[in-house]
Amino acid sequence: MTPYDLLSRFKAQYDTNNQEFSISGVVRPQSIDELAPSIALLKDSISRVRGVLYVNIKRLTQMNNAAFHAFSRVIIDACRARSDLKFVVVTSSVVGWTTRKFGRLSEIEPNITVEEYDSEFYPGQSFLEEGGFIPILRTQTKMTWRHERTILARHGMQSGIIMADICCGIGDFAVLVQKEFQPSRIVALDHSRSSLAYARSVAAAFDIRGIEYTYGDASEMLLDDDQFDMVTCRHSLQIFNRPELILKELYRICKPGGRVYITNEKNSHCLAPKVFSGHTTRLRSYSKISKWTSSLDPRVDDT
Amino acid sequence: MNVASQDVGGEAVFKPVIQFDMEIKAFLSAWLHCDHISTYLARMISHNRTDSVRHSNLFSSAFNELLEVAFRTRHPGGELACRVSRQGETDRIELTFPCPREERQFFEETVLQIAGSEARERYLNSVSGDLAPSREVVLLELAVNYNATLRLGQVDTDVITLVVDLALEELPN
Repeated sequence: MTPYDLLSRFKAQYDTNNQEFSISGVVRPQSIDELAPSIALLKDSISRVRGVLYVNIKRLTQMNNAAFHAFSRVIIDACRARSDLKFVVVTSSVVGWTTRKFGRLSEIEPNITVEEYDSEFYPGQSFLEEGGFIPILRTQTKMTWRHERTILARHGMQSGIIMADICCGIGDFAVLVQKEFQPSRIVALDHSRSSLAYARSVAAAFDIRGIEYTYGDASEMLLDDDQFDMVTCRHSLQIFNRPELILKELYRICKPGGRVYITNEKNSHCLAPKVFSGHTTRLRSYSKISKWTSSLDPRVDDT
Repeated sequence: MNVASQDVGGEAVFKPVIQFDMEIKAFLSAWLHCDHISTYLARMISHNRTDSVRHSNLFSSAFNELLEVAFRTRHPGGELACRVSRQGETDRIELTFPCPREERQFFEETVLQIAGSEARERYLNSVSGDLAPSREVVLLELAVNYNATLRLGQVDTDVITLVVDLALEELPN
């Protein structure tokens, strides 16, 4: 057995206030005995609730059939034993298999429904997705890029790095970075399928390679920890109700010693999480973003 | 890994993308090999898909189930061989693993069931009623939830090849 085998790769918990059982991570047991504590928690949760139990699987990235069957068995049996109880399984549209797989349960028991929590996400997004807004976004990038191309170079943007552009929108920034700096890989993520389609069409038309446009939720990304040398998030934090969730995710996917580059409509900052051997060296207090990121403990540069 | 497709004599040609071979004894030494292999191969073959992250997640999810089926055959000798090839939107997994003669019939019958019109009903009945998922249901699920097509390829003495075609980019949520 390796140390990796001993790591808990999923987490199950129950929130009494919200009557919500949640399970997240990668759940691929060999035997359902490995799930015994989680199954016991689900059963206990069911025994405590009245009316409805929310089953939150928004951050469930993988679950094999052994585990799916075990959890489903408990939920189906509960439906049959208690007709007063309803189950709402909350999925994310980002994890492609969850809504289909758990949706089968509603075909078996009518008291089970499945909802994609982000199907009508970010009320302002539809405005941004309108085609007429694209020229404005492109003008914005044109105005800021002449500054950013020098700022980014000072903060480690260079040929060969691996970077992520989170909330990439129509993808024009990623294209400019690819042309100017030639990173070895760019993952550009957004929650707007129409913006991503536009970005892909531009990249195809201009024969630009090396940019992976991906659909995702910036507050619950499927991307692994510590994999990018630079993470950018531009002109986006202002539209989120809880920007601290985004910041945590940006920090999570950035390599130790990497850079998180953030701009928004009112002020611009560059966060540099200088981490050596797992320890953060210093934190310079810096207004609101510093407050949001205080739990992450990065170094903050405003240059 | 840009793989061009072409037709030869009306047959779609799948171009090889990646191949993986492992002693079955080594494979069976740790359950986590299923997860590691499915995750790694999924990332490798997905990077040039339209949405690499989504494709990788879906491919890993489906492929892991196949590897778990091979793991549970628990045949002590031989090799596990996995070949992934591509034709347009479709990725083909050819998973070859040791399979005792008495188990071969199980796979033959299951593949026939999957091709039948009752696959969805059988799958729902199993989720609804069975205490634990059978290997049959695991394969049925690939057809029902991933729109996979399954068939048996090479069938030699003590070896079987599962051939699974997945068009995950077209798969709606």
